[in-house]
Amino acid sequence: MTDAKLKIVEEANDSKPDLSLVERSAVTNDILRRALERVRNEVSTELLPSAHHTHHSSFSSHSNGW
Amino acid sequence: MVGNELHLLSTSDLWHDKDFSSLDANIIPLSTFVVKVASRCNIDCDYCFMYHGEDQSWAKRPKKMALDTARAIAACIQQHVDAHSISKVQISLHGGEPLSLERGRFEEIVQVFRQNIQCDVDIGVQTNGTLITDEWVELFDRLGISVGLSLDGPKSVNDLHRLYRDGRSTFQKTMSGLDKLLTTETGRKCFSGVLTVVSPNTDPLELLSFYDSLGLDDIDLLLPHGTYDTPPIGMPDPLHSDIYAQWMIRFFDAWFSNFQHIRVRYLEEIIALLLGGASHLEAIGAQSVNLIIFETDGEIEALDSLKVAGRVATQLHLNAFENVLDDAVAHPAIYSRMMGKKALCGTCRECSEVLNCGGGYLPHRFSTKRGFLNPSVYCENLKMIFSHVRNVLFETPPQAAA
Repeated sequence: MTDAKLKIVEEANDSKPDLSLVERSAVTNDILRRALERVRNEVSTELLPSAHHTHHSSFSSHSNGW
Repeated sequence: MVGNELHLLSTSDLWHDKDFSSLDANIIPLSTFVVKVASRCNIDCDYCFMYHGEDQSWAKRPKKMALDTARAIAACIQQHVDAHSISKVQISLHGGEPLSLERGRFEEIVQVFRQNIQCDVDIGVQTNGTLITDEWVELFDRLGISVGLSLDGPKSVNDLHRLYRDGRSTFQKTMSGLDKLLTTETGRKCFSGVLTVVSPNTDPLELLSFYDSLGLDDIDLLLPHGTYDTPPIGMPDPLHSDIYAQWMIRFFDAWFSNFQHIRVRYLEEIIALLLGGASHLEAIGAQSVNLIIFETDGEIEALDSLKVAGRVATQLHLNAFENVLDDAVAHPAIYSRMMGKKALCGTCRECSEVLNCGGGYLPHRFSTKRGFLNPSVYCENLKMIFSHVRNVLFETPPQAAA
């Protein structure tokens, strides 16, 4: 195994992550810009996991297909 | 394949680790339906869960879905839509190879769903691409169907696993089909993206460069299916192999730096989870899963890729002719996927990554000895991937020297 395995961060994501650094990085990174936009949209529409069936994503949730 | 030890497990013990005698508010209606319109395929990928999995029930099913079966499925979905006031459903036409149907039968089946399900109905199809013609593209467009295509990369990579039964390469035919989707206005309108099974001993940068050269905007990465009984390709000892994490991390770094314009579904779900969002994909995350499978004979299954685990995992004794979908929701194979981390094994429930990985993809947790009450065979790999992505997202880059 590599050192990367030893770098596993111990906290769970049940608390809100600090997105300030991600927001700064998103200025120059399209992937992060897309991700932030999506997460903010989900929060604003209260898209919680238990309400997952209401989302309008462009793909199905089925992993073995689109 | 049912082993002696598995006989000791009750049905619910196979699927979850807690007593759910009183089902709670996590239970949601089903709204994604994977419909197997063909049970045979014109190619023979060696990793296919359908034909090379433990469950060989495909051989006894109708080769193509009958219209009466499609009508029974539509009625089943409509009953569920009415019972739960569902406003939108998604139907994914799957196989086998769904384009092995005659176009006329394919259209008839789609029309059965369009005419008999009274809510918004999104319909997509997942194909290996080898049978796509201009006429198929015209039909997809006319029926308003989105198309996902399976391709593993450039020829040298695709030929590792995706071959015809006689060993010939499928690459040229697949690329011909993809070309019809990418280079015509109607094709572009229908095309969703490429689904790629990861081949760990290949170059991720070569894959990204190849897809970029094709002008692809949306791709997805799929870890090969495997269980503790039959581990994934390339990792005979899953607990001591990081081969998929190493590949995925190299892919992530190249993508994150130089191919930001390409959407990579699996990795974007991981990023969303780490930013506090919810996954939209059943393979990752602890969210409720709302999909179900209809086989070509109307049989209902929890998930098609459970065929890697065997008939014990796929046979729910439910079908569209005799049951309503609430019967399926009441089955532990279905409702356990709506319980988030509560349904997982003790090791997963106590893990700091559980809300991110959700225990990994359901088929990958299976062992004959303990059913699905294991961490994923990819557990160590998933931890490494999440750790790496988290570090990239949240670690402050070194300041440049003054």
